[in-house]
Amino acid sequence: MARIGVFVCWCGENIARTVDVIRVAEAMKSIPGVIVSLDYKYMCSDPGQKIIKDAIVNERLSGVVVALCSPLMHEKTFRTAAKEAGLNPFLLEVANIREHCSWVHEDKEEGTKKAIEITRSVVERVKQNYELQNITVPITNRALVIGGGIAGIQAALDIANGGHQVIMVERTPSIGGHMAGLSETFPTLDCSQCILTPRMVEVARHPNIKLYTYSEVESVHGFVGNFKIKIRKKARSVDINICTGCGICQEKCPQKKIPSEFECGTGFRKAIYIPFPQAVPNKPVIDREHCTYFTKGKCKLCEKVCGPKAIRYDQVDEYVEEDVGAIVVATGYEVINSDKFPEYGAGRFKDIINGLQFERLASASGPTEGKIVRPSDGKEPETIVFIACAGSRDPAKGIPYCSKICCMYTAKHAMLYHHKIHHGKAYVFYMDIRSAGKGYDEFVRRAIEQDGAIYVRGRVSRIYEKTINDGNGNEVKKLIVKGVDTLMNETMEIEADMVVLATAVKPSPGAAQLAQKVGTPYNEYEFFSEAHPKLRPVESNTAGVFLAGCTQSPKDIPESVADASAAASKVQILFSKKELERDPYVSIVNADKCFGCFSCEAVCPYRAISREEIKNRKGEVVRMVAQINKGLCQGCGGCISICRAKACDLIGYTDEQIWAQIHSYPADEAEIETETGDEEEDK
Amino acid sequence: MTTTNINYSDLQQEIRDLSKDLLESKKVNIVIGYGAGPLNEKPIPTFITNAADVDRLLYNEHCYHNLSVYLTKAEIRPKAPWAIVVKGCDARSIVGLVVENQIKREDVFTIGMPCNGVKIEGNLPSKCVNCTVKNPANVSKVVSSIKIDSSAIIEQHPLHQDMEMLNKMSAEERFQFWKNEFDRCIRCYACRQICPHCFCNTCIAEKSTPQWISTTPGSRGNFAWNAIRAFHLVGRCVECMECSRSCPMGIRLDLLNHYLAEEVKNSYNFISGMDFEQKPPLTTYNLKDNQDFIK
Repeated sequence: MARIGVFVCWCGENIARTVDVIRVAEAMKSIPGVIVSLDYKYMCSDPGQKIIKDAIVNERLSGVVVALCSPLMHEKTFRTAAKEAGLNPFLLEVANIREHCSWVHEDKEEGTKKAIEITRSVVERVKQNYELQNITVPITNRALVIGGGIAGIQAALDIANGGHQVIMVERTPSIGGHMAGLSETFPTLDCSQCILTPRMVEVARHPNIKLYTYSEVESVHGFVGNFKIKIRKKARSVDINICTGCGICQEKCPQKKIPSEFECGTGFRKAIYIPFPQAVPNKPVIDREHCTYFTKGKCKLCEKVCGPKAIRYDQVDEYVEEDVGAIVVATGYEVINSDKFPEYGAGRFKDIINGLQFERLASASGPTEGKIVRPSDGKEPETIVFIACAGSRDPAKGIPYCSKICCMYTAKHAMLYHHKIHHGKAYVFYMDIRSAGKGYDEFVRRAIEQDGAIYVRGRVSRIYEKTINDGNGNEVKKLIVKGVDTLMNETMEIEADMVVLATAVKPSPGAAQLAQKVGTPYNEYEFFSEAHPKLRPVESNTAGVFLAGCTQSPKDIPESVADASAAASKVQILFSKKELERDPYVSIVNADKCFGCFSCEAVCPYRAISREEIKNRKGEVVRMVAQINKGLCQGCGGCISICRAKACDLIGYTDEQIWAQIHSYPADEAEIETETGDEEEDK
Repeated sequence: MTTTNINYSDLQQEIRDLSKDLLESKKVNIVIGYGAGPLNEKPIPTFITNAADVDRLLYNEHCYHNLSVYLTKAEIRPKAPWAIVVKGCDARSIVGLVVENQIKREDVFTIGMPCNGVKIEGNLPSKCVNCTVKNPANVSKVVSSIKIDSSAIIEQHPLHQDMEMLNKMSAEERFQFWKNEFDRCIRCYACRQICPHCFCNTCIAEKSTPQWISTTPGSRGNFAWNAIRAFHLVGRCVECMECSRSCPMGIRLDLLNHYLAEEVKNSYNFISGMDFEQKPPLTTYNLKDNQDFIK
């Protein structure tokens, strides 16, 4: 027989104002199985908790109902108290008579009635409760970092320095990401490569980091603490264990005019190439799409000149599997294409470039060795126009969000331009200047005040090419930039030599597919979603999957690094325990009832359901049934609602518990009248 | 060559020859087909395990049963591999069973029959009007080389007027309509027993802890049972209409199932039982799914 204790809280006036708590406590006494029913001013206070603990011991209670605020507030408090008094914590349940009742009603009579019904339903539920234990899951203390940009590098180094092993997977032939291609970094103007490359080398040399470059995550299975990762090592066509990185193959390769990804199309590379001189690993890769041997079947020049004989034309994609306990997604960003802007020539004009291309022009290691020149004729631009918010904050272009980094790098570009071309004129068209950050606004002021950038608040409506006479009898091509200065309330027309578009930031290609592989949500722009925008910014909604950098939203370098360290610290918190403990609310399958349609497997968003063979005594498979992985199941109940045979049930929220709760409510009288048969309800 | 005339004695002979081959070569253990019943021209389901008995198999226009229901029955299931005589509509049930992992595709040899409509009590049932599977698809072998001319599509489905009637009703009227229908239910569960897609080991109607559906014939329990069965069949029912044929109380299960099938077709562009690779729409999620119903 159940021995239930009911404890009704006043919550000062919060509940007592609209609920007659004394009457609620009194009403509970008439329910069979209720041994004690009390009210108290503040149940969550120490004396309040003591009343419950004493009752559990003295009255040998088999279940407890506390009628008070939302379980989100104090369920844990009271379950801990129950545990301290020797009662299994899952035998205590909260009846929410504050948020669900007193706070939303004014009539005390009605409120009291409702509070009685709520509390009674939970009493009936607790009668069906049974002892539960938290689930423990072992943890593999090894992390996977997807993406080798600055965020991935920082996360990997932090985790590795914390003493844990790290697997890093990078899609391109070298780690470094976008930061390796930048010239100087705001707001201090230190050289991007100078601060990044030591970190890249550290990753390569770190005993705890295993690096897979030119590789992609093929599939992710498992759950927090126990992920199984399949990695596809794309065929490099070079044995990097033998290759010395001497670069002679690259030198001799006859294919010279392939636009370089690293140079953002401002320079060229060969078909066999090391992406940039500081690449890690500093080993070449054959681009099979452009290689003469792979396209025409003849050449093999690189094989001939290779001293250590490291060229492997017959290399195929290789698959490796790794076990990890946590995943950091740091897949970064790309910028939208210039052909998205028909008003700016849709990418037809050579002298309209994007911000990343300008970085390469300004970089000492770039194709022009740091000289800022027009791509069309190699001349120094006398007048340059920077357009911020090219695509960003523009719902018509499908991107309503702010790309965040453009205000700062455009100021930097104007500054770098002035440092290199002193007599040049730099215009910046902007919507707002967003320069929140340490030393950021000062930096923008410097661009305007010391480096003479002309900031124009307004948009550019059109750019077109025009050939004009420069006064010395020379025909020159100019870009006519038509814009508006909204502060002066007048239209402007600038004859520019070059235009730089601060094109909008969007997630790396394939972000959505990766999110689906990892099983974590993403938004309509394919940025990964964080578990809570304020309180859990680097965690995803999938346990054990963390986010760093532009995977989540546009971010600058300092933010990405801070993110990465935060994600790394979350990983290390996870790795600080041998086992993971979690609440026992998971689904179970009754194998007798399951008939193996596997609709549950299809609807499960956490991939927690697998197929189990039921064998007879001879060891033959008789049938297949669903099986739930306790570590993966999040207790969402999708399988339970799709299961026609009711073979699935949720521990802690079983059909019987819910049924008992529903049936404690008085039946609607009108409904009873229409009943024609003899109903025998299971009470 | 397309035709509308079927020589049933030819088809019958072909079934017998094929069945004999399959049984003698041990390719199958059992042939599920039609054989003589108490009223000779109306065949009943017949099971042949011995090649010498194949002459018991019959085939004519009265072979309306959907035999695929037997494949998941405890008596027949262990006898795999089976051969089974199917019309185009029955073949859709087999596809559904394979898709839902109830049978293995390689375990079943489907003998597909060209069909220009069956006769139930001398009438052409509504499912045979506008039939798109007169020449069966997704079967192991189609008997005879006849091709039925299926171009003769009658514009309006026989249930069209009833559907219109339902659509014109208010929610309360519609509720009352179905309540009146279900009130007649005597809970014999013939609809469930004859349905190829009602293959649960334990039906929700028989669940007792807790008992979600009252088992006594009464307004509430009847409504719950019929509504839950209809929901369980959404996106799975192939409209073989065996349930409405077998219902002794004449409940309009044909209309209920057709209405839901049309809903699924309009919402998800999905017709069940047409493709072995298909996924039932209610167990899958697609960003492009029609979401008009969310208001």
